Amino acid sequence: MASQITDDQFQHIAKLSRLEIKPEENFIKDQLSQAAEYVDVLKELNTDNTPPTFQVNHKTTVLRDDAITPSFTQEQALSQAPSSQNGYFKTSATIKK
Amino acid sequence: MKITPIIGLEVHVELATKSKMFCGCDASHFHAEPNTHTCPVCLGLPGALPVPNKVACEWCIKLGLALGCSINQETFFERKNYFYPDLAKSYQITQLQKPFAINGKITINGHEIRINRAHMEEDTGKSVHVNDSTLLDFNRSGVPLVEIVSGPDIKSAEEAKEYLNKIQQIIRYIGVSDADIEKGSMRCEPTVNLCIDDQYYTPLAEIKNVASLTGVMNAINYEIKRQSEQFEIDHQEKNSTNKTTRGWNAEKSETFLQREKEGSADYRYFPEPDIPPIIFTPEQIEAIKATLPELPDDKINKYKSYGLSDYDANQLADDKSFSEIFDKIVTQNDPGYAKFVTNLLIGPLKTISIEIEKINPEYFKKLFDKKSELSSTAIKDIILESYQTNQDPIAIATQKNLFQVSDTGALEKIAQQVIDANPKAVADYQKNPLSIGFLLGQVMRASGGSANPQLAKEVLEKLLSI
Repeated sequence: MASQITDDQFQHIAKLSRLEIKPEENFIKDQLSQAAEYVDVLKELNTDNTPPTFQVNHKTTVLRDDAITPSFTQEQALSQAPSSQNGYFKTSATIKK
Repeated sequence: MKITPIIGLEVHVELATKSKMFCGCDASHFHAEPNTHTCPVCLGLPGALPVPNKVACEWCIKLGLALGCSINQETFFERKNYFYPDLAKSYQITQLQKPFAINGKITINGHEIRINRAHMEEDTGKSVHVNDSTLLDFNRSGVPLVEIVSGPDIKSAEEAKEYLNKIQQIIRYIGVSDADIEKGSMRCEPTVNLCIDDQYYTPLAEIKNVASLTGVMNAINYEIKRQSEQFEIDHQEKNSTNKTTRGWNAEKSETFLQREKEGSADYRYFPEPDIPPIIFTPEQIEAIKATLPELPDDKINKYKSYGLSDYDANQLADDKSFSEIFDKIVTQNDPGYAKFVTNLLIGPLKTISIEIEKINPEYFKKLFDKKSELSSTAIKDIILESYQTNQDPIAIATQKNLFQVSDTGALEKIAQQVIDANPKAVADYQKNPLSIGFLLGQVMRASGGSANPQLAKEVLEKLLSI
């Protein structure tokens, strides 16, 4: 059973991923459809009576005490940032003024 | 056109834990230098592993219990995916399927408002908008946040305000946050639509960026007006895809379309693989319940059983430390006493800041027993002085000669002197009994203010009628 991704779905997924798709890149849609088809294989299994598995290490309730541990310095925090200003990470404007 | 507003509120509360939700960074971010409380976990660096803060989980349960919720013994965290610069990991760790607390309620003026859920999540970073760029501070990123979601049961802006006040009061009572709206440790997002003529429902609008209680009310009222006008134009009804997010512009006092709301499926929620499920046993939940203080509603009911009015009971219960002072003084129903103490606490003692340790309940009782012999002004002065100097109020009253002369013989003597000295006023009184005030004033003056006014009036009337 093929999960053919429609143009609308493709545009929507691109938008959610903040990706700009050029017309010549539309072949990605078919690649995505193929990947989705592959996942369809899993549908062949009947999982009605199988509880969902979120974890495989069988640990529960791993919590930490409320205690402060040392943080990065401001310099360390910003060291990987492509752009910074006055101790802040800097990015292009998120709202139009 | 009959319009019934349908309002639900999402309230976010930052918990006042020492450290953040999933890492050990200092959770206090107010006034801190930007990006000085961060680490690989709250900056979303690759490979960093989150570990939940135990106290934050317990406080979320505690808050849920205070809101009358049931507690899910077994819970787990999930990832909510969306792109925004203040969310470094591009997902927020939150709870969807199994929140810590579900199905609570609070009552406002007899009207029940359902609490659908109270779940644990993490705060985002803070954006500062300058010129053509956005600056980001991740000190707030990962601060523990509880989201409290009400049912769509609120009917007006006024009721929304009362709901928020109540939530804030409960949070402050249990001490898990300062819940300060102006500081941003409590934030509120109303979702509004209308039922028109009992049959049509307008599209839902969720309102963001409301930064004050007045803002919440204004935004709701604006939205009620906007939606009813819009409905008259296009008759559009709500469906599963036309919910919108609107921003609140406090300067213009209007909401504006921000974005089409992403559907729940678009957030691609899935269980957080880095955090194992969390189990709280019934015994552990009971132990948390045992730490709950007497809550505002219980206090109000208790005060009303002492014979106090709704208004007085609410005034006392409004602030936890204030109600604790009252509780130290009044411990049982003693006719008239609760009202007497309330008047002192809400009156003269409200003007100074009182410390519970310095309160001597016995002094209040002593003053109460002698109140018929003291003027109300004298009582106010005495209680203030008694509190400030830690002196017996009776000693103060005696020393300052504040007990009223209730000795009829002594008052008759004074009254007769006043009558003899004021023939004109006596003549006036014979024509108009209401003019007794002047003579009464003279008696009070002659007694140095110590005469019992009621008794003095009776004595005067008796002498003048002869």
